Amino acid sequence: MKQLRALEAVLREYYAGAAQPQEPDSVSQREFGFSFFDGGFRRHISFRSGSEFWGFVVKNAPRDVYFSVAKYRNPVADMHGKGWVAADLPFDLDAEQVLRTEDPLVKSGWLTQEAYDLIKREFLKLLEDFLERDFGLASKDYTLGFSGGRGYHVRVTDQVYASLDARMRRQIVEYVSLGKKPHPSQYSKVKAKVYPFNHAYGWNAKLFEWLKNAEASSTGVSPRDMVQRIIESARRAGSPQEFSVTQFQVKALESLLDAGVRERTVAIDERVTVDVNRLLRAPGTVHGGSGLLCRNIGRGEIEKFNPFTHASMRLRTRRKIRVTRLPVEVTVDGETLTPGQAGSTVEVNTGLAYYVVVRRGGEFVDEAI
Amino acid sequence: MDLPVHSGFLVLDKGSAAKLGADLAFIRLTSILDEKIKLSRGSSSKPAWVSRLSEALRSRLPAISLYSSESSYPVDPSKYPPCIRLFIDQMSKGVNIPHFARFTTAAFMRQIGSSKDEVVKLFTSASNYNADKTVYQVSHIFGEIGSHTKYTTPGCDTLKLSRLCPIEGYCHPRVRHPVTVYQINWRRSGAAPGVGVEAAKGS
Repeated sequence: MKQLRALEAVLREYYAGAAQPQEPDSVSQREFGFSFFDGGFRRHISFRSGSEFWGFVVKNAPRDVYFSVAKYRNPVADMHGKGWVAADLPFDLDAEQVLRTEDPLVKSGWLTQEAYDLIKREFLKLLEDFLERDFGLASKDYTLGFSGGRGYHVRVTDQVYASLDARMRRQIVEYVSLGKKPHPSQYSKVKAKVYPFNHAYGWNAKLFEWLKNAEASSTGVSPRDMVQRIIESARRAGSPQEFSVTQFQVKALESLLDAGVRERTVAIDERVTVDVNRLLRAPGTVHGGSGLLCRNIGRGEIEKFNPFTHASMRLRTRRKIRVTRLPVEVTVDGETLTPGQAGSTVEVNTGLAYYVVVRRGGEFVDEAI
Repeated sequence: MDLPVHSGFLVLDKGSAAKLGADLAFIRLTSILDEKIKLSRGSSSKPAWVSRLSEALRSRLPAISLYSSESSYPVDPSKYPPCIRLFIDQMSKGVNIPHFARFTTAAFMRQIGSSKDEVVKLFTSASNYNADKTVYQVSHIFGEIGSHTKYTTPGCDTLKLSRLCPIEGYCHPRVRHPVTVYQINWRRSGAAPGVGVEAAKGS
């Protein structure tokens, strides 16, 4: 209990000095939800303005803060009476799905910088390959954010997408996370040649590009020499429609395209994108499970974004903690704790102390409580 | 339709453009019809004899229905194919299902022997339910107005092409029509489907 109160005190300290973040559009139509350190969760709350919302956060220092992707006529009513108007289209890239791992370390949130970089690579793929290239969205049509926990968010705010129902959103999820390779029945045959791509857009363009850049040895498809010949044929072709294989290569091509689909899909969290009433963490607030900020990121910032530096609370105070177990090296705001320091008592910046304690890697010592 | 996507646009060729054009024309025509129905209701004051006649007819309706030859097939939703079950379930939850799914449901119900009123009733919980429009469209499917064609249920392949079939593969290895699936489900349950079921076309 003391530890929870100490964690809450850190968030109070942060919110007391934090600037009000940019408010969501149509703030009065959004439903807000909050979880608290005592285990309580309150939702169906609405605010008339961004400043009223921020006043609530500063006063109560909730553990987690969320608002709906949806806009409602009456956000405080229960789900049946809310009167759904429209909803942003959200995408969530979470470590567990993106890294396709059951690793308990990842599940419990102990992510290394390298893991975050892998997720970021998928995040850029989602952005460049799908949202920008296929869906034609520009930076004014979406907001990008670090979730504060294990991944990244995109909220597509463009009006065209706002009215899509769950079924249509599921089609978008399938397009991004399952992919589409041409069905053999769509292949065209001219004499002894088989042409798999009948247009140069969307998934055809992605798979053709992937084929041209593939290395036969790393595709996992055999026989290797046949795969090499298919790849060379793709490299010689000027466009997807010009690419052809022989009748004998069709089976290997299909396996190759399967590998290409696996490589170019992005494992977004289906539940988040499809749910038109989802509560998503509010940018500008602290993720109570990590002490890192959920914050928006500019399109140009992504490449250099480092959660442990650019999403830290940046508190100037320090806290004394006893390190009990540290499975990975942790660096927050340039200060590092290593697994070898388990068992020692150290004074570190408050952001790092919060991160370690909340992940059960240590505890505040009495002086800090 | 499975169309390629590029820069936020669907890329059409000759065939897909024609099909999409037909779908859009249908939606446009329906919305014009909708508007006309609304306008006619708002502006015209019906002559008194229309009200008297409709009143007189309504009072006789129960008596007439006693002698009606319209067969009411015992409705057993557990024997519907999964597509129809899904459409009806979604409508009952107020989900706005596509026009073609509504058409399929109405034509299916007609073929298995449901009455027009029963079919209309199915649509009352749809999110954008409009009584006049629903009666008009169901009457059309029952061949009572317009071209007087009694519409039949689209086949499984057509439903798959329209992305409306909710299952992988087919309900039955050799059957490609929802009404046939319904008949088979009856046969498997040991009861005969009776005369109420009109033969599936194209199955």
